[in-house]
Amino acid sequence: MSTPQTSGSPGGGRRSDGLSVLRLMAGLQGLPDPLVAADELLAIDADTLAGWFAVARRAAVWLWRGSDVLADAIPVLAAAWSSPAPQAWITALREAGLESRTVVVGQADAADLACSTLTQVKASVEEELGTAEAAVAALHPADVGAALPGGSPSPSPELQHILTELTARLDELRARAMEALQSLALSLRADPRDPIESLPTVASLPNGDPGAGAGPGPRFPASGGLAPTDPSAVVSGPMTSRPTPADPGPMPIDVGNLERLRLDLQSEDDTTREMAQGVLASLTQAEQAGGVAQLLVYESADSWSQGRAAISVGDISTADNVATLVPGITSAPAQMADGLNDAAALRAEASRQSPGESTAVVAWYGYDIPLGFKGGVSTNPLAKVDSTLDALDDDNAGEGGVVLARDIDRFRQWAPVGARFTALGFSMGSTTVSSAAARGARLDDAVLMGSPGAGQGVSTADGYPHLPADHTYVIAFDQDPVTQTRTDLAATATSTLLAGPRISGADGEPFGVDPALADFGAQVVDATTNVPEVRMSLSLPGPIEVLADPVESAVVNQWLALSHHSETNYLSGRSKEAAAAVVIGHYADVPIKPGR
Amino acid sequence: MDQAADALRGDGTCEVFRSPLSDASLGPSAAGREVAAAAGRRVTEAVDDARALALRVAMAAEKIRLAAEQFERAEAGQFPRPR
Repeated sequence: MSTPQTSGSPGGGRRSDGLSVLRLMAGLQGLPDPLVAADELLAIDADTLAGWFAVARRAAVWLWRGSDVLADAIPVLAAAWSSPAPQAWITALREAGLESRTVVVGQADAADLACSTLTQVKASVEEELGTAEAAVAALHPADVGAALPGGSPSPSPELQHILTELTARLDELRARAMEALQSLALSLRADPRDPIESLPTVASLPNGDPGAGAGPGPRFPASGGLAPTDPSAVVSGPMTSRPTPADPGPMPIDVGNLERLRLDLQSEDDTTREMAQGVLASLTQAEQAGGVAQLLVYESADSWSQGRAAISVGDISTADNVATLVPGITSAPAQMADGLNDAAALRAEASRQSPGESTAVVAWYGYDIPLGFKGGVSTNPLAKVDSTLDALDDDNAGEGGVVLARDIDRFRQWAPVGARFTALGFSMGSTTVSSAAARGARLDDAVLMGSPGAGQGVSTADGYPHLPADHTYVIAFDQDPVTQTRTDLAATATSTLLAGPRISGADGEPFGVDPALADFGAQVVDATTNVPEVRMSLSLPGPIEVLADPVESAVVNQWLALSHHSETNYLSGRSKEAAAAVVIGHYADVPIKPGR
Repeated sequence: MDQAADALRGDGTCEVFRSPLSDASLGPSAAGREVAAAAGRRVTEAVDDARALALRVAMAAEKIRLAAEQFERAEAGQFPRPR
């Protein structure tokens, strides 16, 4: 194999003369740069992947040795104890160890296979580049020069053939690499902890009596349960592990919030009490949907504020994945029913796609949501005016982003180390999520749904300090008018009319850049609206028809188009599947299309 | 069973394994990013898994030892028999 000259660019990039000619030629013909594809494949670090799975093999050996030694203990226990319980217990431990080892070994084998394929692919890429380089070098210099800018518009057939062959071979090699990675991704979706985590705890062996009750049983539910009609019951909220008479177990993570809620339920302030009653009803709804409901945030409402609340559907303290769902305008903590339904639907979809993992979805009503009084408690008239004006720009989303970033930090303290965190925002909630990411929220992924904009100061998805652009997903239905530029125009016009000229950001749009634009650089999800598209044409009698008809039709159709702009619509069908795949990190299952 | 717990703990050190894979280690494709993230998690979980089983085996051993001691004491007449 000949070895082309390289410049030592990252990823093994090659810049030899012959290959540069091919690159230029591809560019002139509007074809993808073959060297970019080659560099991407050469940059795959298969050796590090293989080395990392050597650690998994060590763990597999520990599991095998331990299980093997346990096998020796079983006949001894059978001989020593008349009760079958100790023997059954140790047998269950051994089988769980072996089962877990099978998963680990299977994944290590899959990783070895993938690494082997990837290494072969990289070698083949080197070879193809060398072959192409040598073929270009063998051509007559005049043929090569003709392919350069200013040369002949039709390069020599030989050179064209070299470019076509190289591109085709690199495409094949890329397909092989992707197949290997996708196969490994599928293998890695099995959780090696499942066999051991599904064992009953050792506490089911009563003290001093190994002859009783050692058989496997259902895991103890994490929730202590709530009695919706009894305010005093809320202090007993969800527990994070099994309580026993001797050991009451760890304190519920939401005990402080539940205590505040309990006090507010007895408040003499109507606004405070109504909000608390709404939150209590929401907790009950969430518990019914998820088995465990946790009140992660609670701040009282008053005559100026709707308060704050966040409820987790599912136990955050044991979750593999934690999704935080941020609603849009007119939502309020006192009325979280729709948001909790969407949270439960998202959680169910995540569980369907990854049955072995647990997911908690937090309905986060934690920012000053514009027009919150529409669905929430009644605040004073001045607060309502203020809240109405808040809907016309992203100020509340910007401030909410700071609060969201802080709350996610707290959620991380309650969740297991290594839990994946995703924030999903709808409408103004998406602007809030974007603002949180821009302020350094520690997220693995973000999903912006039905977004009016990414917020001031965020011009591209590269602007998030801890969130890579390719971990920012955007779902924007083409039929949704809120994701179109006219929303900004309408908001600007209304805002100017009501509150005078506003100093906008650099982009001059009150909600910032449309994140679905190709230039924004996020991953745009290929999903369509779940609401049937209906258009109406009005027919008015008399001579005004010619003028009024188009205007009336446009207004009606704009109103109809708003039916596409709902959180439930975005968390239905394919878009829900895509959002759930992001939540559980199954990126390969997320359909992507070019941005606008 | 104590030996089994030792074997499951591995070399017995408190070595902490951190994934050397970054988000871009396996390229920019969705599959590459998914594998990088999942591999980082799964290998760590495999180690945690063995140690979690070691803990369960050790606890079970302790329970059985305690029960055996109580039987021995009962047989030795150290506990009053019920009337």
